[in-house]
Amino acid sequence: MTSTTPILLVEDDDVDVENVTRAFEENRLTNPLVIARHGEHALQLLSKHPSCEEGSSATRPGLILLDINMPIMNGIEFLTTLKENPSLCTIPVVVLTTSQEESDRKESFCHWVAGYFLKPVEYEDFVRVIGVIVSYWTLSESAP
Amino acid sequence: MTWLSNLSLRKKLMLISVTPTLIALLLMLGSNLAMERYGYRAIEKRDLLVTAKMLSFNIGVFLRYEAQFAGMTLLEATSANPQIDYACILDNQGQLFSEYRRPGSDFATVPNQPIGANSYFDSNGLHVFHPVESAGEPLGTLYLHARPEGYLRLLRQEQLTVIALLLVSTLIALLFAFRVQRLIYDPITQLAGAATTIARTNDYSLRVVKQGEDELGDLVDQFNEMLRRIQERKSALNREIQVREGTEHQLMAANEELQFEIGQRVQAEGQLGVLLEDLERKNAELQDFAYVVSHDLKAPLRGISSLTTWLMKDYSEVLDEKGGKYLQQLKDRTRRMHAFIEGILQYSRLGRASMNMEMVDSQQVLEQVFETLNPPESMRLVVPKPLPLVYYDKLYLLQVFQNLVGNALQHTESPEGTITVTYTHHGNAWEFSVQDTGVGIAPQHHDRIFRIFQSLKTRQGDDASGIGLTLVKKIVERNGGTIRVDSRPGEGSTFYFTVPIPTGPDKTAGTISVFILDPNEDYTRHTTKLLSNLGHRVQSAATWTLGKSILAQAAFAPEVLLLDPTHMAEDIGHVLRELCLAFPDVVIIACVPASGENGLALATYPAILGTITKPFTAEKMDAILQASNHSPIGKVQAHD
Repeated sequence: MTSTTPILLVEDDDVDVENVTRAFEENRLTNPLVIARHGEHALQLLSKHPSCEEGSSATRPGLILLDINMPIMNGIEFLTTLKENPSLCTIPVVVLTTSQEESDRKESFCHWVAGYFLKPVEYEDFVRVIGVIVSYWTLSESAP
Repeated sequence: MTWLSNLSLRKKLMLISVTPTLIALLLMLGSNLAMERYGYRAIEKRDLLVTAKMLSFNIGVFLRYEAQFAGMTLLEATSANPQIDYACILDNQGQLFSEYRRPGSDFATVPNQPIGANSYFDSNGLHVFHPVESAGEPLGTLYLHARPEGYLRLLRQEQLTVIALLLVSTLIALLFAFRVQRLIYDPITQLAGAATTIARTNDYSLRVVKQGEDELGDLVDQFNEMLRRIQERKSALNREIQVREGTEHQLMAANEELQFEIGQRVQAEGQLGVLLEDLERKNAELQDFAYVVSHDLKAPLRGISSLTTWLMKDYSEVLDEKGGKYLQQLKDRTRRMHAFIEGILQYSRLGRASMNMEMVDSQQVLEQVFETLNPPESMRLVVPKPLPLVYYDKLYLLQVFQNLVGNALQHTESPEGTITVTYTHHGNAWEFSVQDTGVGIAPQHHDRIFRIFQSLKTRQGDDASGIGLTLVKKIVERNGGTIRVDSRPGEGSTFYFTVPIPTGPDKTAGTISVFILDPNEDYTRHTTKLLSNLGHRVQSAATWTLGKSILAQAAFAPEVLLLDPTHMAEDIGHVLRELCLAFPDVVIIACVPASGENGLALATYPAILGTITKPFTAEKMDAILQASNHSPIGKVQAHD
């Protein structure tokens, strides 16, 4: 993934969207951030692949930041569908949630998530976490 | 003679008394009859002959002178003899000279004199002939006749007398016999009657009246004595029976009561079961509710927190001092609320999650906690003796220590402080204590501190949710322990909590096969008993050679081997090599005597998992066994 590869954020909470957006800014991340409000919305966006026209880039996302608790289609349901799709299953997914449910954690890892992060309460912590995640995946090679 | 045997005693006695009398009388009667038959005739005959002789002596003169009248007069003298009813004198020619006939006599004719005899009896009576002589010259014959009934009458009279006598004497004998038999028979009858009555009525108060000092008297005495004893025994028995009946009655009453109570209890239990189910369901609902609500509360709270931060960040120039302060206060409140919610989440999670029980080294957990809490350099942790192995969920034990030690750190205001953690052995539980040198807690707050959200500190600048001790209490109690505090303001606080020691195989991993290899038989016996009581299977041997053969024969694969390396007859290195070859999975624990000088050195053999010092308690032994069974990695050490 490069610093221009778009990143898909699946998140229903406005404040958290703002949180991520601000964290991107504060970390001076240049990756375009594509927002989906729930799992189904995210799948719709991905099905338009490789366009992903909501963002400026036409390439598919190099990373998906996924919330668990969402309306219409939650994170786990989204993961299930995503990982069944051979063309999409290679996109790394990082869970970013408030859920400490053991079952959520377990199911997420069963669906091959690349990481599971609890949303930090403090904004400063949030900024730091987002910075670390994105810079890690920027260093990592994408799947062919 | 059966009829004799079957005769009543009364009749027998009568027979005994009367028979001799009767026999005597009958004999007498017989002899009398015989005598009469043969004696009286002779007497009569002699009488008549004497009379005839006397008469004929006088009659001779009359005959000579033919004085018939005189002869008749003389003959009349025979009337004095009542037997004679006829007398006559015949002359030599057989002519009647004179005669006497008793008036009323039916005598007919004088019979002819038989030749050669002067008297005879016939059916007519006694006939007596006597020659009449005078001076040697026969002149005639005197004839006397006695009536046959004469002697017969006599005879009858005699017989009658005898019969009368017989009757009288029999009567007397009977009376006497009756009297005597009463003397003998009455007491016996009374005895028999008493026995029958007693047999029928069971009335042992009956007594037989004693009638004499003879053997029967003794018998009566004995009989009465026997009755008295029976009565005594019977009354004793009756008393006993009464007592027993009383007891039985009480028992039955108690039983009834118990049955009733059981019934009630069963009913109550049923109700309780329903209530419990209801309660459990409600509790689960409540926990779920608490969890879901607090979880859902967290999201908006995070939002508020973020928004506050952005306001402070982005609009710092626009806000005056007051506005900045308010926003800071808002952020603090948000943080505290977050801590509360986090507390509720933790608390409700405690009831939901299952526990992962294992043998945990509490010493290690405590050290880990102290390190994590990152205490100031001036704070000292004192552990006077190594903490024991406990059967607990490691994460929960961690949380308990974290909260207690954390509390201690938090409430120590002076820069220097000491936290002392130690334990005591209380029956079937360990009691841990965490003591600090902090501010202490007033006694009136001792209960409050364990209630949810009851922090005693002012809220200012404090992130404590006040849930820590509540959480600890819940963990401790969920594990079957108790928690209490001992504290005074200014004197620091000591928190005590208990951890149950698993005693049976039920609470632990279960039965373990243990083999004891020790030359000390007393110790082996003791340990065998101890381990068997804990539910483990135990075999033992004094030497390895013996042990090998036992292990080869029995279908017994030891999981744990207790070995005293200090007193082995064989080379310990050799034994261990063979052991590890034969049973590669066996856990070897060295049991060294307290005074064993080289015990610890021997226990450093790599095959030996741990050492334990003799003698040891059941709890320690079991803890060691369970520990060795749970985590065969690393060395086990029993702490005293």
